[in-house]
Amino acid sequence: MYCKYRKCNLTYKQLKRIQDLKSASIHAEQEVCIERARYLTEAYREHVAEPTIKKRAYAFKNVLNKINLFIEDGQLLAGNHAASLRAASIFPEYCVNWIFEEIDELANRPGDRFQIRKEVREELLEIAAWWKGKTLEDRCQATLPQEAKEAYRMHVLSANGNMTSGDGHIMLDFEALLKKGAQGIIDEATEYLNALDLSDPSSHHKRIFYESVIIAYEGMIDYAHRYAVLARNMAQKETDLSRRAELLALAANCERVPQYPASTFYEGIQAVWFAHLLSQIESNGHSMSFGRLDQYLYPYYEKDLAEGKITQEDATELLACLWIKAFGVVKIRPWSHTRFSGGDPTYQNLTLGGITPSGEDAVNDLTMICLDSVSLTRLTQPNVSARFNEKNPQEYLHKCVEVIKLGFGMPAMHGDHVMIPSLINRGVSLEDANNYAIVGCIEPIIPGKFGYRSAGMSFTNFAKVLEITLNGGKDNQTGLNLLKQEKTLAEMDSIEELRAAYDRQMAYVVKTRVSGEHCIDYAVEEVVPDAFCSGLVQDCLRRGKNAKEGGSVYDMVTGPETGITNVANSLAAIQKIVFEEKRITPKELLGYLHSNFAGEEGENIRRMLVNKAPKFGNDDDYVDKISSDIYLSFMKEQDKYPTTRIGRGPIGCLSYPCTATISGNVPQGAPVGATPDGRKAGEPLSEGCSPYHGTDTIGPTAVLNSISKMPNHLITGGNLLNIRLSPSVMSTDDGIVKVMNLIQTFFSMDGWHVQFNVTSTKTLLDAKEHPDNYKDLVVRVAGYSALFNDLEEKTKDDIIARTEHDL
Amino acid sequence: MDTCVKGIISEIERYAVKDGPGIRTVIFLKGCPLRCKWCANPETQQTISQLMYWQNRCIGCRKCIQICPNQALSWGACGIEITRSKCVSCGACVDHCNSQALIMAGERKTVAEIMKDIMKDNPYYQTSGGGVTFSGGEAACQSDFLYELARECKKQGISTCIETCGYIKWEVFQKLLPYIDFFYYDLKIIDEEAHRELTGVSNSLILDNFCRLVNAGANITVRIPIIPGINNTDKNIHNTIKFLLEHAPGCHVSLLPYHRLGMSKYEKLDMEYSLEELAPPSDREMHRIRKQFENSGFYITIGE
Repeated sequence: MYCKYRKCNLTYKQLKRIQDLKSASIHAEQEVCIERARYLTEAYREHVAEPTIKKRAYAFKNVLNKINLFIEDGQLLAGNHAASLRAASIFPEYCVNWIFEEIDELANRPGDRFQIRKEVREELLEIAAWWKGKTLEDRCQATLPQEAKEAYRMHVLSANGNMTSGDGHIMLDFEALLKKGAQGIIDEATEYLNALDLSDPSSHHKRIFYESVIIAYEGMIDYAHRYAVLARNMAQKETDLSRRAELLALAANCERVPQYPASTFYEGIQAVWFAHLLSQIESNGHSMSFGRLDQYLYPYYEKDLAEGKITQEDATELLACLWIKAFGVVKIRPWSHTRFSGGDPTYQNLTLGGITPSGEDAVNDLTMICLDSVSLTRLTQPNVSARFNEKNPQEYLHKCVEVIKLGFGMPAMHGDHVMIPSLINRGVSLEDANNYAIVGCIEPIIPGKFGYRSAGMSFTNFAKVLEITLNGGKDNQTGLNLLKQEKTLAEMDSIEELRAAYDRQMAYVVKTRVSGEHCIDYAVEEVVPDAFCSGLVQDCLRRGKNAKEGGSVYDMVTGPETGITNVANSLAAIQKIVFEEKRITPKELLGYLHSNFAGEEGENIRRMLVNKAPKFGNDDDYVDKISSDIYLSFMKEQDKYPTTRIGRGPIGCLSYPCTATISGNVPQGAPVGATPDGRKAGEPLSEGCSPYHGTDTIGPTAVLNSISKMPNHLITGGNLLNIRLSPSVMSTDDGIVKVMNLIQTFFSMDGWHVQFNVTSTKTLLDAKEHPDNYKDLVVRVAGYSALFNDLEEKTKDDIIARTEHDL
Repeated sequence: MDTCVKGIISEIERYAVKDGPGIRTVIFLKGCPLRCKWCANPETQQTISQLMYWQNRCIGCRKCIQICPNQALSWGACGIEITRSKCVSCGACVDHCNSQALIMAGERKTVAEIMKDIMKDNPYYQTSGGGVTFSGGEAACQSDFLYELARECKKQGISTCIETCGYIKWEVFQKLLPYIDFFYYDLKIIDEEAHRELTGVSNSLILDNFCRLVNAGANITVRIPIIPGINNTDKNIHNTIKFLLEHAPGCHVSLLPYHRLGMSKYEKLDMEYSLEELAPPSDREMHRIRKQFENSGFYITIGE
């Protein structure tokens, strides 16, 4: 349905602006910013008697009223995450223990380094001392059941990020903000507030919620107005006339939005940025996503274009400015969490294409402009997801592959064909399912209607569960026991017996995981409730509840799973080599695993396990079926348990699987001993359902076929697949078309998601050797893209080890 | 139709994108009447299974030496040594080699078995206009097997393509014609003597078959491997253009730059590679040849 789009042709000035902004942001040294922590703590102290949500609303407003403002040279949008470029704010309400332990290591750690000035260091330690014992992490540690703590210690489960940061994983109702403005939300909350009958006991919490929303949105308006003043002051001093005009336009925008509804495309982008940014100042949860920007901003673009107020190139430039802004949001995480999400990612996803809620082709001029704009910036943010629907034009898919060819890992392709029915199967309405967008890495949610942490619940380590099962329920590393089990692999007689034991252990793990998650969810609800974000989540205002209390329309969550392929490959190897061909006995195998395949004979056996048994990703039913089976039995367990919002309003309150692992497959492999697929102790695990490194030897169609045999319709949290392609494959137009064919066929076979790393091994090896020459090299990690230099050495090796499919 | 017919194949390559239209599966059939000095698939020349040894994969456990029923294996300076005269390609050593250092090039499979592999990528063929490509070796060497396989593909609605050297009895092509959609036909050297010297056979049958296929209305793409110093001479290019202008003016000519990717396989088969010092043609050289063909009205592609 796009019609006026043509090849993008930016002026030199526009290109230079984008280049300069990008360069300034990339080269700015990452440092710790104290201001948010300072003003937040100040307000917490002042409003100590208030209920938590209101105290937090005051704190939010205090930060917005006092944080240092700045406008970057040449930037067309206002609003920054911290008091200086690419500085990271501190969120002490979530956790402070790591600060005491890691403050002097921040500048030296293996990845995601931060400088910290001396005076900042001292103030931070002082603030952290005040927070000690009051944080989310402290509450979680005080309330977690023993079983969950032990499972975390055994690394069967990991929930560190969930206890040390905000929930995130949400998509605000940007459309509502564009149409109503912050004032509209204040007015709405006021109306609800005035209508309350305070003699009704249920009104009490609602009243506090509405008052908190009003405070938060007043803070938002103040913040924009402060920017308007700053921009006007800067304009007065500006000698360059064209820059002066830009600053005045920026000031005019900030006077109008987000307070009032947006009237132009430019105002729309500014309003979206303010809301998106502030949600990340309120909470430090990651994966706050833009949703379907090509849909909700299109009417403004169309109107401006028709009225001659804007050109296609202007829109491209503004979007590029927005992405550079998004890249400026920097998160500082404890090292324990950083390891799971290397490369400083914030997972701000942008979804393009697909169909409209009523089922028509949704590709429009803005979809194509968004693709152009991300090709210009080529940054790690936003994380671009392109929906593909049979109704979309071929030119759109062609454009997507052209952008993929640029080699910064985007867009990731998503198949409507399986996602829409999958959501409907979970209770989402048809219209809403058609309107899905991606949050974080690959997880589909309904914009503005899903609650916090729709994804990113605790990690389940499939390989560790298998290792413990092989050892009779005991974890050799910690000496702790999972579920009591009579036999080790050495005493087992059949693969069925092993499978049954594994399933029992996994059922226990799922149950333990849920017990821990409930604890964390209630801690989040009680310790760090958010009024600002809830104001832009349907139906929080109508219900008078924040998102974590059950204010959202839908409540469906998912957590990442690692090592599924290792388990499938391991079970296939045991079945074939041990029980069918009897090349070695179960006892011998267990011995080799314990010795980590030591000695020449051990290495020989390891190679047998690698080479003489089928591996997932080669279109071999023998192992593909096992992979599907273990996943189905895992899901069946998970289906049993609702979330803490059950009965409190939302549809669903259920959890489903997701195979996105971010970079967690590397640290999660560290505590797992040698596995029967021939993987040595401590080596990384498979990324979600992707084939294990180097074991897919038949090519991309075989990989896609293996993936398409998974129960994709039931993996509503998303089934992640990484394939790396050599850049030579798309050197001709014919090559591009063949990659399009590959994607289309995969989706017609119920493929869920596929992303391509189009960087040659040679480039990566060179980048590892000479990091200075590759400051802007972006690679796909697993569900997101990261600056290669920001990754830990081990993760770099992992990326390099991925099988390169030379087409 | 007999799907139990067995053929010997060296490899099945999926997602091939440079061997015919669309996304294709390439079946490498063993056996070739030619012995081109630049051959990149030496393991496909003979119609028997052949043992290949990858020294870099070998961990030196020497189990294969104990296992071999014919004492064909021994340990030498470069790892395992194969006494070719004793090896009967029984595969016992391959089964016991966990490192995949010993590999058998060539497996006997029925049409039905190969069809199973071919069908796995059928959805990709349908989306992309791809299909199956028979390569080798010379695919038509195993003529009965190829005939059954091609017929079965057409029965399943799968497009077929053959990469052929053309040195085959005309009757074989005649019989295959209804079942092959695309002929990728090699014209290596036009001068008969030079052809005999570099490939081991005369090219008169090849040129004759080419004309017959053109007359039969076959969809032909001419393929010319560009081997520096061997067939990129002005004389050969001139002769080729002259031949094609006479018999297939304006046809699609695909120029394949010589590459050395097959070189390491010679050693693994205990074979000699005589072009060791030869470097691939430069882009400039490829462009020069391309221009010559284009000036004579041919549609040219390079490398596919």
